[in-house]
Amino acid sequence: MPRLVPRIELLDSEAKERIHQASLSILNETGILIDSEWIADLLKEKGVRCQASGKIGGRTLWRVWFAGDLVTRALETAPTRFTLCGRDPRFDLALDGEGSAGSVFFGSLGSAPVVHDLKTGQRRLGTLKDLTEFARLTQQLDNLDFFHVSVMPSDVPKSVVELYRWKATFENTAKHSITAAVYDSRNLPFLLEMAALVQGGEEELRRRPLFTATECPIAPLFFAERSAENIVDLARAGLPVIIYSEPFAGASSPVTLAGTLAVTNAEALAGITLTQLANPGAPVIYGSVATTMDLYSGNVSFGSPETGLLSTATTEMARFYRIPNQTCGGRTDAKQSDCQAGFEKQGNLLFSALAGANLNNFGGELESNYAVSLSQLVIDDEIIKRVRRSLEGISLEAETLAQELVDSIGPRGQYLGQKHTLDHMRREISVFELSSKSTYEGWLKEGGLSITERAKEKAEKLLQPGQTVPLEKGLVEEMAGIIERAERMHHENR
Amino acid sequence: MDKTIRELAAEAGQAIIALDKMKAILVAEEAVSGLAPADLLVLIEEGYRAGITVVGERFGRKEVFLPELVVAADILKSSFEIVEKVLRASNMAKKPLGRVVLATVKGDLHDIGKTMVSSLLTAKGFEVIDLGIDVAAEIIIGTALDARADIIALSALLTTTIGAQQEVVQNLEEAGFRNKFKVMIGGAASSKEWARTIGADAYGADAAEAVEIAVDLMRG
Repeated sequence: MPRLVPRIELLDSEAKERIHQASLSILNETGILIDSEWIADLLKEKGVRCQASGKIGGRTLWRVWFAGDLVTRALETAPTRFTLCGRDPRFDLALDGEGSAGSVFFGSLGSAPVVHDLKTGQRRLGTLKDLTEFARLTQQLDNLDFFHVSVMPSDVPKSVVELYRWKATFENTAKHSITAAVYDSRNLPFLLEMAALVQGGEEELRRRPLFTATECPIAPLFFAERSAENIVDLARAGLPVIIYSEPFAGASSPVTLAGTLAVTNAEALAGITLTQLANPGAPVIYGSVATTMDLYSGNVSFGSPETGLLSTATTEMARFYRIPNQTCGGRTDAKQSDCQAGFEKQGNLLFSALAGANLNNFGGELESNYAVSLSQLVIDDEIIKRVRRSLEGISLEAETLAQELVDSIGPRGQYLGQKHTLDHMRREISVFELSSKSTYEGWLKEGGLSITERAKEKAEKLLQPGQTVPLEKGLVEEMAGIIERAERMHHENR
Repeated sequence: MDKTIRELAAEAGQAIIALDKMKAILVAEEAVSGLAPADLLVLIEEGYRAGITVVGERFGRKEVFLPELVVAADILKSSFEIVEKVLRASNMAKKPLGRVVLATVKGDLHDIGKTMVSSLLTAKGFEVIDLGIDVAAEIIIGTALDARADIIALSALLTTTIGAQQEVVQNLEEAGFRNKFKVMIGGAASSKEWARTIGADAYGADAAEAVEIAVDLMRG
């Protein structure tokens, strides 16, 4: 046993089977609601029981019941392993639904409407320039493996906001990126065209998917038009989708964590089944943003300890199904980068990471997902470094047990100048750029700055002008041309 | 009539505080069959409303939680429906604190936050016309005009749908109706900044705050 790594185990096999059966019964007896005529047609064609069930905004809603064997077949065809790719293969993420070591990845938090300004500290609506800076900083920070498109810019045309977001993303980071694919299904062909352009063609995009779409059911058990259709469209295109199930216990799912698990799991299974009916073998990720309701305000609480437990348990369900997963470990309800932000983030991230969650997207997040901050992103990079070290555990072999060394040094000796120390210190003991480890006087000499002040300095330094990962010449202009065409289409169809 | 109005009012208040729906409704039914309309007004104010005030104060002190406040509000609403039917018949129904047209805006299918707001506004004494989810601007404005509403309250959870809150305000302005209504916004994706940007009158960060700002808006 050369390396002993810590793991959290919360659900035993009986518990997993029980939650699985509860979810199957939800899907088979309660059913889900789908807000899309053509998805209902597709499902009926596949022999799925569908029934018109009311209307919304003039559209028919469909109650859909998935039989257990259909879900089981979907779980068999959904792949256990696939790779999410960067522009540059150095940033590829090899996802493993069986949770092998080295398949735990960390990224930024996406789609916040508000930004805490790095220079002024002012809280304001996010812009496209902010998005660019988050992409560039994520590119620069080594512990961030992927970019969840951080900002919802308030200063670009609403009809094509997603295309502006993707263009800025592809332009400013070579890492894999995730976020909702499109908010208007008519924009999907333009996104696919843009991504294919960057990745070197449609076939290459399928082979090396540059982005993953997060598609959210509305808890409980409701798949709105856009998310249901995006799930199917992207599965057909062979591109990865995260079924981003986000109930909050007490409001949109049972207040009991077990009940919330059954609902979250049912939503994930419903989404997974949709992808596999559309295209057996399509890459799909079991997502959970299951949280709790704050009992005083009714707000969603990402930083609650229960959220950490839910992240752990949903990860274990995904392992049970041998499907890669995503969780919301590492998020906070704190309104600034304070002590609460620190303990909520590190606490819950440890739970999801030690359970082996494949994708953990949270970097830069504050205010229960409502805001992002560049200096918090730098702090989160350091939190990830800590968690990664925890994941590496303890190496136990003759060389690391060092019995001979202990014998040769003997009592009252010291280990400082030993070759053994020099050989192993970098692997064994981690060092940190932001956390203060010096004496009080040493800290004063270094400026006597708080961690947030040091994070701000580091972010400013890393955001110096100059593109670090330039795209091939002409591609930026071509992407702008694609957006122009999309805008023209919207204008003509008004 | 066995019980006095004082006794019934005390029972009504206790039923609200105890979240005892059955009891609250039984009291209402007993009252409408035996009390004069003027006494029913006393029952509302000194019974049910006194009860919800206690629950509201306990909520303010963080002794009870939001789900309990919402349940108390819903019990209050069910009891009022029984009592007010009789009051309306004798033209003695009390004017509401204000009339609110409430909706989740077009493109957004999120219900829960809006429903919390609806319950708490009703409990406070507002008349709430809840249009549901995914409601187009013209329907919201049309309803508000028809109902002579005081306040239009717009919920949006998604960062992609807060634009529809703006659309309502813009349409009100373009049609020359902006001064007829106060507009308040809420929901996870909206904010004080956003309210300022689109020219809404107020923003409520959560359900309890939504009630406070609605009261403020009615004061002008």
